[in-house]
Amino acid sequence: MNTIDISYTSLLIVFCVLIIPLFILFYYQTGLLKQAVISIFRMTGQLLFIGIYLKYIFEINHPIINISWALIMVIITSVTIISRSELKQKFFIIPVFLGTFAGIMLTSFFLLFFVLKLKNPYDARYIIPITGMIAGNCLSAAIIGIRSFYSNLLKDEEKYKYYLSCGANTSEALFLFIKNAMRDSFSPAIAQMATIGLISLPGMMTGQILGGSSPLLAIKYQIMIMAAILAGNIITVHLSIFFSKQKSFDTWGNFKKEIFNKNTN
Amino acid sequence: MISVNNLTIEKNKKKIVKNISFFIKKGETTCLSGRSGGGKTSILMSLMGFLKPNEGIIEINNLTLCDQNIYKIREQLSWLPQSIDMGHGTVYDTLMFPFSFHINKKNTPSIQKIKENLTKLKLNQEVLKQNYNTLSGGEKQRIALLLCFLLKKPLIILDEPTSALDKISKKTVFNFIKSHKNITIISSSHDKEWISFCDKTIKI
Repeated sequence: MNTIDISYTSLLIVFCVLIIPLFILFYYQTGLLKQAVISIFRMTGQLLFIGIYLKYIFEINHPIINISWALIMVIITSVTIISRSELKQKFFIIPVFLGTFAGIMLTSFFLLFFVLKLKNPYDARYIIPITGMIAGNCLSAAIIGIRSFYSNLLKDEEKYKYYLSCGANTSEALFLFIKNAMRDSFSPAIAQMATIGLISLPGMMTGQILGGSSPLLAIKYQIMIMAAILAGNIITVHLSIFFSKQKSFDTWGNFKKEIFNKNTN
Repeated sequence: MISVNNLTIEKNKKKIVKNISFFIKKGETTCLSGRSGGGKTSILMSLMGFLKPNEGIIEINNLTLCDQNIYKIREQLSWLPQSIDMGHGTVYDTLMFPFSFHINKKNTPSIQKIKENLTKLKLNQEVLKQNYNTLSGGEKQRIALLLCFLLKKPLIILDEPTSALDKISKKTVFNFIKSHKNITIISSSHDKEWISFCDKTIKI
């Protein structure tokens, strides 16, 4: 590895790049200036904190600590999915956690055990970046999917009732809603897969090349991670909806409005 | 067929239906009539279990509306809702989707049967290829009504079945309904022609 280090002074110079967009946000009175400055500070603070934290985790490199870190990522992902979908944590935390856990951990462990065939699959150098990348992508896919499922159900509740009145059981009546949620959720990932390498170079691959890996090795890792991300996304969204629907309907199959965070009545 | 005893329904802590009782025999066509907001649709919704009664007992085909029977009751009925935007894709897709449900598979109609019924309802057969959402209100209402009958359920619930129909279409629909025997129909409407078409009217 022969990555060129970035000094803290150089890192400060990076912030000069942000002067132009911040000025444009200010000039057009977008109202986003304050939010943008806060977000830049948060991003910097969070990443520096994680950097320091990960440095120690990598030094200790204990399986229990590494798995716990991956679990914390799963929990944070679940909590964020629920809050961004405007749903109540108390109804959804267990079902979404189960879906997210299966989506992230099953695919990560599959890569660690069967694709990379590591002697120590719990090595921090592998388990943390792999679960992190899959979790980050599952987060955005699951927010789109779960949000689409519940908001469409709220909007077209009459249609759901109509299917029930035609003799459907809850799963049959929800079929089209799940289908639409899956479409909304996976269309961006599928489109991205089709154009990757042509109009965009993915972050992981770029990072590896900058880190000194050969482009071919970086591409192999990228293909592996893209496949895992798609599998993880589908498992997370499908299982989160599957488990959460048990909490979202009463014994008569009627949709419970109290699951939403805001007053939707 | 339908027995409703002392039915009370509350919405937002307000009683919208108070102590209503009625009985409908098998094969009868009944209309619930009365002023708007009087609770007619709420009664129909509670028959299907979409609104839980606060008091009273509902029995349909000797099944009491309760946790154990709710899905068995829904298996025996079909519903024409007030808002008729129930379609997805083409008219054919819309008509066939409910037959993908386990309980309806055995009643899947042939294309010939669907076309015959379209003719009876004075609808062009080409309508099957059209997107459901591009149909006029009257066409949507007749397609939704056709689906109710294709499902071959003993009970049909019609909410404002003539609201989007003109005089000629109403006559067509009345003849279509008359041609089906032994089906119990409960409806809600203000339409005088529909009320006089029904065997019985219950004032709400």
